Amino acid sequence: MSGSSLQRYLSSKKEPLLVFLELTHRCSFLCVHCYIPEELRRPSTSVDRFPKGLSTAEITALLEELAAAGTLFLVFTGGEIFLRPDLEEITARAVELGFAVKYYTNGFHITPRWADRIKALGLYAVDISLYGASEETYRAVTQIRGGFKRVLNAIEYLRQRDVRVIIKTPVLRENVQDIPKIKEIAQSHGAMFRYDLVIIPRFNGDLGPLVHRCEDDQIKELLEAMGARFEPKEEVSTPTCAVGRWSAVVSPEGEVFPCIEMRQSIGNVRKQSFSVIWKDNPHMRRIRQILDSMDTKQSVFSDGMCGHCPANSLHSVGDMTKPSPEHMRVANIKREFLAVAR
Amino acid sequence: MDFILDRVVCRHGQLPCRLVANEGIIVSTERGQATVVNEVGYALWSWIDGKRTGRDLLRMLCEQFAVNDAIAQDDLENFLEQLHKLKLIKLF
Repeated sequence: MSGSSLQRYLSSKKEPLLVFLELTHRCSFLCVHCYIPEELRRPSTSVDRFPKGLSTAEITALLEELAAAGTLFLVFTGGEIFLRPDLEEITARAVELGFAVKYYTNGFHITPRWADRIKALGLYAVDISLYGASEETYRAVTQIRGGFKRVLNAIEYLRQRDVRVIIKTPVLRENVQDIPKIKEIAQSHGAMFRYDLVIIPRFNGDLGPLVHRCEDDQIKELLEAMGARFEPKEEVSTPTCAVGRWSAVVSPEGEVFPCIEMRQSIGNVRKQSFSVIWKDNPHMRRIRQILDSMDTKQSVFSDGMCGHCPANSLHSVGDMTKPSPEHMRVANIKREFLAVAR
Repeated sequence: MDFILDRVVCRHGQLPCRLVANEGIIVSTERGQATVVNEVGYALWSWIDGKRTGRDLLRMLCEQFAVNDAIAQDDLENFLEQLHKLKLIKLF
């Protein structure tokens, strides 16, 4: 079982099968589009100015709770997870507890030695964000020097060790011209490649990242350069989002959120058990009710062009069952492109 | 597959798994695939320890679930063949 059939199956379970554990908001990059507010990402300030993150012991206890709650897929995400000195210890315990563990990382800190450890730990996959295909583009997006070469090396170290790598790229004005080349890099390293056209605001409401969204013409050119083809599908329904139904997020300070974009805390694992938060929180129950009862055959989704993110929709149109304007914009560009291509 | 019951059954590498609402999900980290098994299948999965043979598993299955030996044998052979095809187990 894989892909959408697995997602439908998991949605029916109403168990927290997938948990994103944000190990830190600190990051070695300062990407222009990042959804995490800048003051949380800067190492020098976050230690002093913000609540203390979960300790190794607290995370280990949380992992035991999550295993008991039925969580199977565990994603360690950030910020940049390699900034936590206890990452290996936490990962080893997670693997021991039977999770399928995935890393979300910028790849900057993966050395040959780390690649060896990752292989030995037996991770499910490592998702690396690759922001460009040259040092120049990399610097424009991440605001640091020397990132491209190091990340490329990291991908190669993992490939040499047969670690499953997924390369992901947010498409921005700054890197849209590099996307075909990034795809080539992914293919030449035997990695899967995904790109995302939808850029979201920071979770403190800062709309700064949105100025980095591509113009319509840039997206059209990209679709052409990528040789994008959108085949008509026999049966199309709204994509099923995991939020509230089989997925949750735990922040570095232990706050539990329905997803990375829905930052209304539904509890803190320092005060309550994760299972109690997951099962009893009225906000989570409401999200489940709304998404379970949503019309999955809405005409806007019928041709399979329009993505759906309940959180994005909630923030932009106040209704998590409707498509967001940005998803509709991208869908319309795809439709225009398809019409011309035909 | 001949004599499957006489062979030692081992899990094929690192295979995270969970029992969720009476069904088991087994993830192949190597193949990037998830397989769903029922409660009995998950019990069998949990007994696979790299030492037991298919016949050991059959005996445990009959004891734990009070099933007819002949039916259980057919089901178990099919189950192990499926797991083997999915590269979730190795047979020695």
